[in-house]
Amino acid sequence: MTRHPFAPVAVLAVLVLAGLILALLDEGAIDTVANLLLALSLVPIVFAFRR
Amino acid sequence: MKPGTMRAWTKVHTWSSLVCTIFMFVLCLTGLPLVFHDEIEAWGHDGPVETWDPARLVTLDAATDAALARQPGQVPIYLSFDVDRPVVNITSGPTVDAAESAMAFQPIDRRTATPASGGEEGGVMDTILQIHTDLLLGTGGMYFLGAMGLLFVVALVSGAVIYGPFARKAGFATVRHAKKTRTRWLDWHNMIGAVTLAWAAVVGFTGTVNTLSEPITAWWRADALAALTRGDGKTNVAYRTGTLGPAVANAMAAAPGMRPQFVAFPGAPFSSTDHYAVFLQGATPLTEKLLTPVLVDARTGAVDGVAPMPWYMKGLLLAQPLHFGDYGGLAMKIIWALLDLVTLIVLGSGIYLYFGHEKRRRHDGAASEAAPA
Repeated sequence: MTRHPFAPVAVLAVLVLAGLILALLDEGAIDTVANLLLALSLVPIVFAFRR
Repeated sequence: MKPGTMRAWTKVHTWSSLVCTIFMFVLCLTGLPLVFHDEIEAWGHDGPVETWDPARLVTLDAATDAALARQPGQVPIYLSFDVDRPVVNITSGPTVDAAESAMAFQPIDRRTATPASGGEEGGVMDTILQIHTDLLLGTGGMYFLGAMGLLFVVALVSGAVIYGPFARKAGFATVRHAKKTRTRWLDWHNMIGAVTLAWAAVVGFTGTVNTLSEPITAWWRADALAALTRGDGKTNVAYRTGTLGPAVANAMAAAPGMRPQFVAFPGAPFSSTDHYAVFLQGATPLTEKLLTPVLVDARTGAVDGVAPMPWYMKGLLLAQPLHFGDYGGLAMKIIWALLDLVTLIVLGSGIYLYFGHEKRRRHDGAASEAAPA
């Protein structure tokens, strides 16, 4: 099975969108989860920078 | 993907990006301080937490009258409530449908019925917000920036399409550090653009939606509020002191558990010609943003309707927090600012790659012309 090259981008996009919407729903613990999901966007950049 | 299709998408990406990039630079640079506007405005104003006795506050009508006494000849348009102090903000103008530039904004302290701090205009943050909203060009500038926001989304989508074949060869989030400068910047451009795609698309699209707030609100007024209008729909019921406070109390009684966020006076863009539109908000971040308008007859004080917002108004109200990133605490603001900064890198690298490519193309063209046949 060949993985589509855009799959990681799509997964990341879905997680970030989930974070943006979750933060709208409630405060507290969900906010933290939402912010972590949003911060996932920055993880590949940090990894590429340190590599 | 066929080479012809790839070339077409590349052209779409190049030209949509080129047209909007300079404006996106301005929006990213001005957006950065705006993310922290609460913190910047609170800086240097740290005082004790304010306390007050609700029973000793002056009525909403008295506060409105105090504001109008300082602006003779004006009529009230909006009244909004501060959350952390007993202050109401009265927006007035020569007419209820006055242009924003002709409006006066006065915070009134309900403990004393005197002006409170916060009404000062023309500060640095106001100017930055105005540049971010309309480039200081008014409504035309706002619609222009909305169009640039759409082009930005087109650039993102086309960039994602042409990133696919590249990622198949090089791998996801790869930067070829050993290659020459241009290749490294191409990799950074592709990688950052891909991983921030969802955030940038949301911010770009919601920015465009925000620029359309005036026509969307006008549509809502004509669509949903027209049915509740009692008079001829043209003559505004004038404000009479003593009618506002009961109208807000009746609205709150009609929607228990909610608190008023702002009131639009009869004839204001957010109301009908003969209603106070009392906009109530809930307790969660979502219900805090999705306001519920209660239409109260300005003549009798009777509640005429509790109208949940239609989908397009909900979309407009949600577009604001999703654009500004001010609904998830300081942590979200910091992430928002970092994403804004890396977007500047994508914009800058895009310009560098385009002009580098053009320079090389011209150089190659000149070399082939100079070569002996």
